[in-house]
Amino acid sequence: MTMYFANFDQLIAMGGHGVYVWSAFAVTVAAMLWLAVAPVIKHRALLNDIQRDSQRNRQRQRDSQRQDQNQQAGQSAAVSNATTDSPSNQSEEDF
Amino acid sequence: MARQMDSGFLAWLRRDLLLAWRRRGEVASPVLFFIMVSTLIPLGLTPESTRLAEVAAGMVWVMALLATLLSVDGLFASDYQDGSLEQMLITPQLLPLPVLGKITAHWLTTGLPLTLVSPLLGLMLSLPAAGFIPLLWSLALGTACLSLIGAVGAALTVSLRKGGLLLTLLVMPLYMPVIIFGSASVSYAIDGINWLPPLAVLGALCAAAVALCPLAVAGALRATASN
Amino acid sequence: MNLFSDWTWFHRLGSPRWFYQNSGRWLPWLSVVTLVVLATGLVWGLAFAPADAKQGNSFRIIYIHVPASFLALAGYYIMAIAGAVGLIWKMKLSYMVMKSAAPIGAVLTFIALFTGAVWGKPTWGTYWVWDARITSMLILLFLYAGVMALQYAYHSVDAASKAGAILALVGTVNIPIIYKSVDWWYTLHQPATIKLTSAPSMHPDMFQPLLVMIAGFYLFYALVLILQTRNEILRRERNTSWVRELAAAKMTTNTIANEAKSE
Repeated sequence: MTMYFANFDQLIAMGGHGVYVWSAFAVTVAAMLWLAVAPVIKHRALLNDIQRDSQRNRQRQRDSQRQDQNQQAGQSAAVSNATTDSPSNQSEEDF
Repeated sequence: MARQMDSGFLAWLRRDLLLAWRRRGEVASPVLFFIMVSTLIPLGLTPESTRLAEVAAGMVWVMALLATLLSVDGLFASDYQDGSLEQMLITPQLLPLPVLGKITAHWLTTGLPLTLVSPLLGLMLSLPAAGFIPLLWSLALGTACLSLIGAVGAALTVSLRKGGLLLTLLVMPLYMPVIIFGSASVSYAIDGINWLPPLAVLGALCAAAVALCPLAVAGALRATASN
Repeated sequence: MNLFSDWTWFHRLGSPRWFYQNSGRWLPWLSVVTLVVLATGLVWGLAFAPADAKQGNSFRIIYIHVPASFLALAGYYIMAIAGAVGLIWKMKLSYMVMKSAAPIGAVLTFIALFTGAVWGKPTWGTYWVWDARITSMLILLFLYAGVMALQYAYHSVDAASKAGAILALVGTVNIPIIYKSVDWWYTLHQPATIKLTSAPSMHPDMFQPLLVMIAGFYLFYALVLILQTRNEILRRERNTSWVRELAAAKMTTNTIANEAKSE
């Protein structure tokens, strides 16, 4: 099997149709690369995000436990408790 | 059994016609749109009647399509807002029948007036005389198709706040066959060819749409509007 | 027989967790095979296949145009079938496949349109003609855009999935009608100046790289669909314990690797 073109310059020129052929292939390769690479990057970001989320939740759980203990110890933590129980926190915690 | 199936269709047809009668001004706006946009065509294109005659059939069809698209957005909107759509979803009747009743009412209040007004537009755009009868027939059948297909889009977007623009995007590609055969039957007649075949295809499309679209609308309403 | 009497395989296939874990094992192999096949086809088609007698070298665009068009259309059916499976069997995974298939199909449709336009310039002297196939392709792009827009419009995942599936099914019923009507419309209005001849019977030397490219595009489609579906699984199942454990495990291995590198 031999190459159709005699040399590299002819391959680039494509008998005068080089602009069309190479631009079509370049755009296609770029679009397909984007299709393949974007989900890989997104996958890593998602895993990072989920990990950070669950860490934050665990932290919050620990905090609220400590607060409960403080309350049992007789300290009046009513004010701080009201601030941590805001609705935005509750909507995020669904476990 | 037959009576029960009837009642779903007729009750919603009667109700929607009555509502349309009470909101006559609102219902008339697609027809007004249809007429007013047609004055833009000579302004934008040419006042020459020979050149207008060439594009008249297609233009009337495109405008009828746009006018239907404008009105189909509101097909389920007010029912969704006042909760009567919820009522329709929980009735024991087969859901496609009330849906078909609503679509029929929509066609009677927009598609039919558009069809009846179209000869006037044909005159203004100097449509050749041979095109008038096919225009009436193709619009009558075609607007029914447009209402039926548009209802699927309206059902899919009814619970969205900005559904109107999305509805256009969803429905427009599905309208292509209707406009192709509708305007073809008019141009066939103008060219002196037998214009019944494209009209027959339009009738077939309409029959298929009557059978399938209410099912799709019912599925879409159950999927999106019930929560 | 056991396959049909016992439906557990079907339910296991529908489990996002099962899919995620197994696809992770196949992915490296699939990506290597895809890359090799695509690279072979590209080099073969660009440099080794003979030029067309009439069109010269511009015909080489066929090696991306035809496979992209194939997959653009097949992708719509894959999306619609996935949506139908979701509607009938209430399978969560298949809704995720449906959502992932839409943007991939749209990009492939765009590639088919773009390469067709670029190919049209040297062959017919114009980038765009209202030819039946081109017009149908454009409508297909609109259909994809509709499904994608509907997916993004809903906040509720459940409503978005079902609405998208219904729209995809309506589109599937319509695609043959649209194609036939556009075909008929084109024969009615065919302009005399531009004559589109159907592809001439291809020489095997030209045809073989095309087959390789078509196979490569199918593999590529499968690969990207799996990648996107895995992301969608993570997005929708992010509150389940298995995803959290997975994320935690991934992160610790990464940090250990980083520490090892810094030392």
